[in-house]
Amino acid sequence: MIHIDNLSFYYKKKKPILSNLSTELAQGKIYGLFGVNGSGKTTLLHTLSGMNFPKEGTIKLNGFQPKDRKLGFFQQIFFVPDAVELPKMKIATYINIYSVFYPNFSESKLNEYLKILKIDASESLNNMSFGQQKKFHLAFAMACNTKILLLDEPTNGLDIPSKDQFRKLMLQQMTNDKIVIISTHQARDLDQIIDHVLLVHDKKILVDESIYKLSQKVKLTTYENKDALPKDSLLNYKSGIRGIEALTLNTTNDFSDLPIEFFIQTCIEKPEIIKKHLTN
Amino acid sequence: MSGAFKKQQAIYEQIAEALCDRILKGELAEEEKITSIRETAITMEVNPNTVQRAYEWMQQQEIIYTKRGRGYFVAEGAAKQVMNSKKQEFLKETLPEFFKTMQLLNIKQEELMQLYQEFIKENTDENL
Repeated sequence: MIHIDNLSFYYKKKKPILSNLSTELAQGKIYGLFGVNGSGKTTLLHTLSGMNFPKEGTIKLNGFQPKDRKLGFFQQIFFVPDAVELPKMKIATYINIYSVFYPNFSESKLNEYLKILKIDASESLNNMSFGQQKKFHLAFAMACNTKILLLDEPTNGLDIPSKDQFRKLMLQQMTNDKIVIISTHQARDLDQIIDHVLLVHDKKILVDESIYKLSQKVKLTTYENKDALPKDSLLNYKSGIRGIEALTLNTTNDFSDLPIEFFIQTCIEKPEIIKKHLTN
Repeated sequence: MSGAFKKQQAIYEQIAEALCDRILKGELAEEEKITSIRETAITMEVNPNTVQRAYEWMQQQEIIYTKRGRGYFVAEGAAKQVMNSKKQEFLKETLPEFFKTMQLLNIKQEELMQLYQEFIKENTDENL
């Protein structure tokens, strides 16, 4: 479990990045962390991994406070940043040096992942492209088998087949005792694999809900013209190819997929409407 | 008229439909074990919960059933069941849409019957 209780973080007190943010994250789930640029997603990940210390509030992560930086804490968390800067060495050397920090590291899993991602294990990290390095880092992170896995924009820099393989690996490595948090702008890369939406807006978490519940609550319908739009249940609309695409509250029992990009766009553009209808 | 178009099919429905099609084609036999939720989720790159929803729906329709601790199996009479539910769906959803388009394009009954008979003839010939 991750408990975040009234977390505030700032570099300058007058310009808080996160303010009184609270939430709880449960095991066995893949969380999608969304928010506009500069909304504090990466700051939140840094604070969870003990790279930043909370200015106020507390974080408890499987019993550890990240800011204490205990050995047992680092053994069960892995953070993959957006831009990887891996040391200039052979892959094998990297594995030898870094895998010892992770008690549940599996070399056979790593080899399997590297094979799937088409990375030659005899390469030197400094000879690899950005995308290749990123894939290596993701594979290594997954093979460390930590209880908590934090990924900042993992699909950034990945080619189309690699995104595909990444999704497969994500689902494959997932177990009931893990918590995975993936921050992303590429909602469509991941919308089918995440369990839960966390949306950071205005220094807090605006949306904290399972994909399942959200897809029961909102739906996308195309209307012929603006006059046909339902007034009571309308959240947002835009013009599409076949007419007006509207995001509305779902008043029926039928179930459709969450139109994730439009939903997130609506949260960012019209937070008041989302607060009114979708948060308790 | 409400002015709303028919909604897109949800992923879980697409998963269920893909499996139903395999049952209809005979690729999955009655009493055959189907892949686990986890395996299917990995192959289809969707969240296991989505697959579970598809399996639950198929269970409700008595197309598959679960043996405790052993997974999901194709039910006896599943193909017939799939055929029935597909037929219902066709009659209730596809056909009214089809008729609407016919009306809109002013296609006469006779015209349709003639085309249908030609289609039947061609397709029967092929099968001979």
